[in-house]
Amino acid sequence: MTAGLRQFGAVLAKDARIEFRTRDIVYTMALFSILLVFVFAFAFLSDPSRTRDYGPGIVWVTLLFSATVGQNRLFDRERENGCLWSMLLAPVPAGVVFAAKATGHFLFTVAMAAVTVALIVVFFDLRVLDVGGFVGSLLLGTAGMSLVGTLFSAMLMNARMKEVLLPLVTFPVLVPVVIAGVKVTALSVGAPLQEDAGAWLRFLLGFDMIFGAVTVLLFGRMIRS
Amino acid sequence: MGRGWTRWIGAALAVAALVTMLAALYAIFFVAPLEMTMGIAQKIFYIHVGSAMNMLLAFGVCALAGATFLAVRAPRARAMADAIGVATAEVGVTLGAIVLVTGPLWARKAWGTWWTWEPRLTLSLMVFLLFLAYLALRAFAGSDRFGRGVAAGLSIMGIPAIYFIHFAVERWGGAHPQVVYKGGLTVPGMKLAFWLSVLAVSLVTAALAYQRAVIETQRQAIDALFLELDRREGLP
Amino acid sequence: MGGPEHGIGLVAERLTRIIGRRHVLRDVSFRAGAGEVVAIVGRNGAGKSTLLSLLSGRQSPDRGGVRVESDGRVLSPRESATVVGFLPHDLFLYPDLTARENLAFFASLYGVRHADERIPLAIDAIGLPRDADRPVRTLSRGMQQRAAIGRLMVIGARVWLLDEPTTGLDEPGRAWLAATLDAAARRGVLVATASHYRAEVEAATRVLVLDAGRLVLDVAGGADGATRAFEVIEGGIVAARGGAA
Repeated sequence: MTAGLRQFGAVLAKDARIEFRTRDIVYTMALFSILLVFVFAFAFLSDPSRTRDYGPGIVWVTLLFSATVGQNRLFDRERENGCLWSMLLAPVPAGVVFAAKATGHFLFTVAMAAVTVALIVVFFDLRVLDVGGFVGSLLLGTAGMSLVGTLFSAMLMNARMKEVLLPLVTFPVLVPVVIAGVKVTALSVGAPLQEDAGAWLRFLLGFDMIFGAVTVLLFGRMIRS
Repeated sequence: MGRGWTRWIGAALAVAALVTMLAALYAIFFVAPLEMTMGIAQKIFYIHVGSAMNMLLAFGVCALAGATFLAVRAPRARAMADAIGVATAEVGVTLGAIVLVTGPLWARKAWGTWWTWEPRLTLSLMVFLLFLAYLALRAFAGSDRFGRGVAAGLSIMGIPAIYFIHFAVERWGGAHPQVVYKGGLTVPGMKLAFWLSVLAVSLVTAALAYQRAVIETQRQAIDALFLELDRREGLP
Repeated sequence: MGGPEHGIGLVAERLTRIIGRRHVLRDVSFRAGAGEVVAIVGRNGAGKSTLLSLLSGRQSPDRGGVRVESDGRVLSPRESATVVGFLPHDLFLYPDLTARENLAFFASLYGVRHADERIPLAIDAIGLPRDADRPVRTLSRGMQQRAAIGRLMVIGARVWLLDEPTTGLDEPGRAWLAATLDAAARRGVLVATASHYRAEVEAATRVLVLDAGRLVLDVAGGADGATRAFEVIEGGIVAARGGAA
């Protein structure tokens, strides 16, 4: 048990070290997200009175796209010198390797999201009334994206057209996350919906728990098939 | 399963499907009464619902096949699971196309718009997309054991995904689920047409999926023959 | 012809690997024991890399199996993973980490004890004390190979599987590699390398010749073995098939 935790930490630390040293992902993801926010601003801000209506949607579209861009980059490193297998051939449970990669993606995307969401809140003049719900939905939603995205980007590491395949495969599965996330975000900026943010947050938590289990269990079997 | 067997089962399914479909069409046009507000366009509903139900069933079978593919090691079981997987996926995509064409046709007449984000139609769209993603993985993630395994994994994940999608889209439009399709089937003639249609579409689905799976096993057999040829090369 | 009676050995039974409609390996069986230096030779495309891949667990066979034995007992998959070290063409090193960081990472992954002592020792043994703290990406291929061997040392592998390790090595590099492998074998490590070079085959204790996926010759190494092996390869015929000489 503790061995697994140590190995988890080692993989996570290794990825963090590589990212800090190369800063590739930081630049691509950050730049992409910020540009997206600008595009949305120009596309929607001709009617600034209704930002509460489309603001939450923009948050989630940006989050989903940056998470996906980050996914592809994540496994580029492992593909380079066959390194994913260097870990899988070690006496480490495959699930531990997967968990470390997914966690790395999660932490990274959340850090990026902090910046882009702050930008969106400023540009679109959103008033965040329920900070807990706002932040909670982003964290839980990103977790779902990290779990599903990491599983498939590992599998598609060597596939043709993986940049297209990855969204094609993950978006249908992640639609519930986007629906739930937008609901909670909208409620937290004061949209007059007759909804229960708590219920939607529990929905997201349930999604993360079920898919957390499913992805960890499937990863080993799928990568070795 | 020898070739004789396969032919008989395939033929039996095809005949049963044809007969039931003819019976269903008869019931739809000559037994079920004309609906008041929508007229003859309402009758598309019978095929629409049957197709949607079978699409979900096909997905379930595809997921089961995927789970078998990943869980077992015996090559013949895996080959069979793989054949069933691709067969149900292709039939599922076809059913999805039918649902997504008949749905808007019905909706146009009933509500005046081609598309609404009505929960069940939306769910059907998502299942259709999942099937497409499955086939895309099989096409592009490698035609070897590995690519098939990735697709199988997607089909397994699709089960909880569909569950969550269902919940999310039901409550998407507001706190109260919008149930639209129920009602209007109290008339015995309509009930008969409905259940006959469901049965007919189910048999058509089974017949098509069966044939597709058989074709896949034949393709596997051809590969095996080439392999045997390759094995014998170089033997003195 | 050597067997896994003491120390750690490998048993391959009827290994078969199919890609598409071709057998890349067919019915390859052999046993190798601790302290042996096995040279796997064959023309390009004969299946050498695939064989090593199957032995390491990187790929799974379509038929047949591999097992790792220790004193006659079969090791579990996890135990096997602890003792087998694979060095493929790709080298299995993270290019953006330094050699030292790579070694430390794998030491942690493999649960190596006393890593703080073993890593500097390994860095000395592979001759990289000055370059151990530069990213692997900046090292020459030869130095990267050395670092990759360092990884095998640090994780304490008892079976070394090396896929054409002399590619890109200059003369001193090849000499160093030969000495290192010899020293490892003396310590009881089972070394298996895929190779093209006659000198390496002569230095080996055992030669396995692959032709079109089949094991066609399994003889002792040395000058005679090398001669026979290269005759078979150049002749391009399936001459002596299977069986120990």
